[in-house]
Amino acid sequence: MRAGIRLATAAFAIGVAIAPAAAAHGVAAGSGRAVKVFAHPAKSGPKVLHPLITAGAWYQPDPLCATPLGCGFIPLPALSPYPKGTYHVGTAVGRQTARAFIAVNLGPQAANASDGTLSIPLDTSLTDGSLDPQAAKVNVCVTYQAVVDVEGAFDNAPSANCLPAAHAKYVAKPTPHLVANLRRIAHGLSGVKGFALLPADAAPTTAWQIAFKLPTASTSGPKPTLSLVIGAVHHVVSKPTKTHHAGKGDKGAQPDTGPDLGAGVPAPTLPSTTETVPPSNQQPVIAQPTTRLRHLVTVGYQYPEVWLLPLALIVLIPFTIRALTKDLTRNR
Amino acid sequence: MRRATSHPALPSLLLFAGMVVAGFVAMALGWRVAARTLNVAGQVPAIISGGLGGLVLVIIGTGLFVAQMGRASGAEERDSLHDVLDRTSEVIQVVRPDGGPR
Repeated sequence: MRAGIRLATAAFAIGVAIAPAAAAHGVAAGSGRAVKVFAHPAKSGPKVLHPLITAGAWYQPDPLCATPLGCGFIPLPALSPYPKGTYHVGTAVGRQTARAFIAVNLGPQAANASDGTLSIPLDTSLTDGSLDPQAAKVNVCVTYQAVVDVEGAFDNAPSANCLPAAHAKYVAKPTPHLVANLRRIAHGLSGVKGFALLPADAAPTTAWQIAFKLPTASTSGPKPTLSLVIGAVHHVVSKPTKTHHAGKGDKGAQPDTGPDLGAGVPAPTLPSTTETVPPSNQQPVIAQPTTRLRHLVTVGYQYPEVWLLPLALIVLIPFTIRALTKDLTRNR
Repeated sequence: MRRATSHPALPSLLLFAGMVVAGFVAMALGWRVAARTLNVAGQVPAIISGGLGGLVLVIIGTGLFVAQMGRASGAEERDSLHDVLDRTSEVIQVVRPDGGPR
């Protein structure tokens, strides 16, 4: 009996001594077999996840935003002029005409994402709303708000966080699709509920719109795919350039301005944080003022009706002078 | 009532009162536009155009309205004076036996 108690005490002491070490190595002991409870990404190497895209939405500018009444002064119902099931991103004459959101189910592992790719097959049919998709320049931003499946809504678009934003490019072959490298935003995917697709360049002289579909279980067709690389991926920049901070890669990043889709807000450029440059190789960053000034130049007035003011003055000033000088006594 | 609606100063008074009202409306819209965004570059034009523009409209409209009211009041006094003189002339003609000037 006493020997049994000693044996049990020794076994307990050994267990207490071993348990922390076992836990430190990701192994739990005592259930009869070793169970792997977690794996450190750095030890297991990067792996690729394919989170599901669960829903989509696209929004168009509230026409009241162009008036002093302001956006949402009168709630307007969603109204899509395009076929059901199509989602749109576009710009015309310097104004954003459509923005899209896709809801994704990232899961907790996305917090460790270091890279990723979003590929969206495009619908190039004119009847579906596609217009010159080759000219499309799209920013992929994250949203922390739930994406509700809606088409052509005017209000209540989720707010998008575009600092930083990933840039999506049009790829024609084998089939037209939009590809975005998510490296720039991959480190901030914790808590993200979806991605926002926003026009990156709202130049006054360009007009384009892309359309895409999100096939459901009942419909067929190419599906957008999202792949995330989980784990450490070392990005090496061999030649840091002067335009690294304010160059082409950053010119389209725009902060979101809420429901006002038409506002062309200049984008503060942010340094890329995902690319690591050895301190010895870092060179002084020379900002290019011409690149920044491009965003500050605005063409036209936000309210074109302001051109009526001179006409009103032309009428009012003579009327006022006449009213203040004429004889006000009654005709007798 | 008919006398008031046919006053020669009425259109201008309405215009100047309208300027005052438009000034207040401009200030309200300026506040609304500025309050709906955190973008300072969008708030400044709203404050300048709506706030200052509205304030200028209110001040100018009020000044013009007061000035025109003064002119209208003076015209009313002159009209009253003319009426008194006309009535007096009529009374004199009635009480004089020969009905003509001496």
